[in-house]
Order: sequence, then C-alpha cells, then structure tokens
Amino acid sequence: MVQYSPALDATFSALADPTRRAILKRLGRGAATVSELAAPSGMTLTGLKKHLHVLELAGLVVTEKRGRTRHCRLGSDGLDDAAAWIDAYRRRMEEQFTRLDELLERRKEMS
Amino acid sequence: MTSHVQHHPTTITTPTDTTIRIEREFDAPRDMVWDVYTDPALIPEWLGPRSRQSEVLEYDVRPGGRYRYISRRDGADELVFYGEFLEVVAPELLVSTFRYEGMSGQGSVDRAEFHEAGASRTLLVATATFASREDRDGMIQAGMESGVVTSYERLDEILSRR
Repeated sequence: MVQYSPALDATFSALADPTRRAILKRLGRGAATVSELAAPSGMTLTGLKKHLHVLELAGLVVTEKRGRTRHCRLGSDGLDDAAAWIDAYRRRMEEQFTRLDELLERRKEMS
Repeated sequence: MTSHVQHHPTTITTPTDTTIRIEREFDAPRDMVWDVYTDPALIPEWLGPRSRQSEVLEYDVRPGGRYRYISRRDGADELVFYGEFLEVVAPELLVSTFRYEGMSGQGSVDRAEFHEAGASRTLLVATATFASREDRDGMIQAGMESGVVTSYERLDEILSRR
C-alpha cells in the first residue's frame, strides 16, 4: 500500500544526520574541498568521505575531482524534492481546511 | 458546495527539526470552529481529502479519552488512525497523540490552538511534534505516498527527471 520512492528515501535519510546537515550548512556558504570540510569538524577524512558519499547519492552534494583535490558544492535536486513534499503536504491540508470552511459556512447559514 | 466561501491560505513551516507547524484562518467564531472540529459526527465530512472516506470508530474528546478512525478510498486502501487526547480545553486547545497502524517510528503529539482573530474569525495553529527528524520526515513522506494526497503533478515532474 505504502510505496516509497528510493530517491526520496535517500534525501530524507541523508538529511536525518546532524553531521551531514552541518556539511550542507557549510557548503551553503560556498564550495569547499574535502580537507577544508574536514578541518573544522575534527572528523577523519575517511569518515567525512562516507558522509559525502551519502549526500552525493541523495543529490544534495556534487563533488568533482580537480588534480589531487576533490571540490564539493551543494546539489539542488534533493532539496527540491524535500520542498516538493512540504508543498504536497500543504495542498493536502488545504483541501481538508477547504472542506472545513464549507462545513462552517453551512453551520453559519443554519444559525 | 458553497462557492462564495473565502478560503484563507495555509502556511506550513518546520520551526525545528522535529516539528511541523500549520497556520490557517477560518471565517467563523472560535466556539463554532471548536464545535465542528471536535464533533465526531462531522469528522467524515472534512478530515482528509475528498478522495477518501472516513469512518469514526471511537472519539472520546476528554483528557485520557481515545479516538480511532478508518480512512478508505472506494472501500479499499484502508488506513487506521488512532491516538489519545492529552489536553482538552474548549474552545481553545486540543492536544492529542497521533499514530496509524503499521507506521514506523513513534507518531506525533499534535497540538491544535484556536485563537480569536477578530469577532468572527479564528486562527488555527496546529503543531505536530515527533520524536526525531526521521520520524517527522518519514510521516510526511508516508502520508503523501499512501494516496492521501491528490496533487501528484509536481511529484510526477520530479520523478520524471530521474
């Protein structure tokens, strides 16, 4: 009955981790290399790369190797999806509240 | 259907990682909004989208009282929602737990505040608080994907890009 979209699952589980949200926040201020991301977090390069991989699979981060350094920046697909879910939720609520409006209107006409 | 009714916008925000907040005004006095909102006989007429039909099995609106209702689409695709009322202060506050059968995670605590916003206008501020961000996002996602939503156009668009 409930069908999950793998792409959205990846987005939401990527966002569920505080370290990965911190990485996104940092990249929101501008692109950075892997070592620049690792330095303030006190994380090992291996640990950081794992998180980056999850974010990359979710489309939240794009990485690109130039020479010997890997550059990271924000991707847009994943966040678009999350925004779309909020919007879908809002529309669902709107339909429900429109029905409530109609019910209240009938109640006012009766009284 | 009454077409002259003014429909106010619905505002959805996520003030924290574990909450979702909904604000919506209604052109009716607060007492009336409360009466309609908490009347089990009227719930099938407004709760959920038009494409689904609800049947209220239990709705005991007092602290410690429970509620349970089934939502179906054309007699199938059954969802059972249930919870307990924690705070009931007519006509201003309704706090309850919210879960559905088969859900992962712990569900939410839903707080509905009804504020007077003029002589004949009411502001509903509804906040759902989850145990974790995963629970919150999972709940929104599952709710959307279980056929509760009728507007799939944007989702179709996004998925077609993948």
